[in-house]
Amino acid sequence: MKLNVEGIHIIEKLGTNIVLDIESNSTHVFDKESLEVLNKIIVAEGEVSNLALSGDEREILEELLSLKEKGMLFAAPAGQVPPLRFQGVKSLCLNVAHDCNLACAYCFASQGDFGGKPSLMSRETGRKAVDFLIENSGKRKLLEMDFFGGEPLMAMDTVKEVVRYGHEQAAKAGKVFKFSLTTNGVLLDQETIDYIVENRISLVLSLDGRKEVNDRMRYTKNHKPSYDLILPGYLELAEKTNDYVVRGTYTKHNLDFSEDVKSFDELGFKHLSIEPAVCSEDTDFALGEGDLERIREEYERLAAFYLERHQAGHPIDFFHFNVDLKAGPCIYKRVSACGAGFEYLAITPEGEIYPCHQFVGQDEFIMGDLDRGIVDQERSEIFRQTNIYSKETCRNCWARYYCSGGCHANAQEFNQDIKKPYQLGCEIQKIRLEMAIFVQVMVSLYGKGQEGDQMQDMSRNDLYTRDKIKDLIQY
Amino acid sequence: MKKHIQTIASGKLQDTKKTGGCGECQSSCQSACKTSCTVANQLCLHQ
Repeated sequence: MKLNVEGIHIIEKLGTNIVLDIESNSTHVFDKESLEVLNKIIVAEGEVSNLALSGDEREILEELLSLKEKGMLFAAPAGQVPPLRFQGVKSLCLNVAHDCNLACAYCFASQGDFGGKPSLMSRETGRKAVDFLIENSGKRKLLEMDFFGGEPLMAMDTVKEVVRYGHEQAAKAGKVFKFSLTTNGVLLDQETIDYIVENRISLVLSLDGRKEVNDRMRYTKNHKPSYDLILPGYLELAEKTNDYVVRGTYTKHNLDFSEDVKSFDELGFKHLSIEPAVCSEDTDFALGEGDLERIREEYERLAAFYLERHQAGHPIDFFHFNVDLKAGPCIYKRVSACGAGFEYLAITPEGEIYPCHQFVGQDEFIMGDLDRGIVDQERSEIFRQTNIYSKETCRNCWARYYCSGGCHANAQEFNQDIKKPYQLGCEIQKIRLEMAIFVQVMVSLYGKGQEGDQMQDMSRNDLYTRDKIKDLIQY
Repeated sequence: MKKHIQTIASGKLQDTKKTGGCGECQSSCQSACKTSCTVANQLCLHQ
């Protein structure tokens, strides 16, 4: 008998042996003895008929085979599923401002203008984007629009008009709009804060953690620090809404980034996130292969902090540890990546259509505009067909059903091919996923009575929980 | 007989071949500038 050992991934941490069965998406914890038997099977490449095992080990093998019978271990690769069917555009990234009032060192958007002339989206173009999304959304009911830039609060008139017009037109078409906004916080005055809260706009609030870390990378165009400028607005928002995540960036300058996450927590923020900077290797803050071990250690520190808080009955919501081991999306979603280029598109202030916000400024990726719609259907189809099966490095990666193939734009930037993922990003992703799975297993094993709290925390940051949908539809 | 393995989650991912694909779940932008959303931390509307 030959067992599918290719579909096994082992995570060993703090004496806990986590075994993932990739094809079935099952998660097990093995003791020392059963892990030894599993390792023997792996060394024998899954061939167990002639394996020399002791009596106890034979019993363990029976236990393993019983899990196999239930489809939870050594599950066979079940073949490819077809690419996600195109069912209409679902989500637009609305770049309402190609301009910014900060000049952050690591900005992927060339300090806001994406390498072009600074510009703001007109209200008319905003309305056209609403019409475009509704007309191209097929039978979908739930539609998303993310205000982005540059700094979207610089085009607040357009934001307000799009929200007003969007709800009005969605109601006529039997759809529901969910709006979100990513901001640097500089223009968060009282009126804007009240507007965002009243209109239930989900927020990504950019802040890099400790004051000195933030101010080193995030400063105004006159090189003035931003921390003290933006913090009061964020704190007020966090008091008034639960629908936000504070998002930091780490670079080579703050490889001790768990301290930055802790600083969010100390300030009272509940929904926390920190991300690696993705930037050209020739900058002094760029992360490199040589930093991976340090990054792993730092995620371990974060995991320890997470579990400590969980056990104390005060769980934190760290976005990237929210992995749902017991459920989660279907296989079609898990293989299909982000949907960029077909169900998720970006619109510039001038109304050009790009596969996503990360491609903006690369003229060869313009797919059409709001007047003509999508003209480059061929490119759209290429994006739809790009999934974990068409990416060689993803096909056999243990993390494929958790990650779904990484960012197309990063692949294009670093390898000039959307089918060749950005390798450093992959390595960090795998480190982070292993830690997330470890944390969730530990919560499952030892967090008795608190798992429900943890899941509740998780759902608070998801736009589409059932409760939220109900809430939205009532709205 | 001593049990050596504890199952934390018994996945049936391949079963969703028959039931999945509605596409109504949240977009999962994976770029770091938008707090990269892996599919693993998303919820399915039907669960």
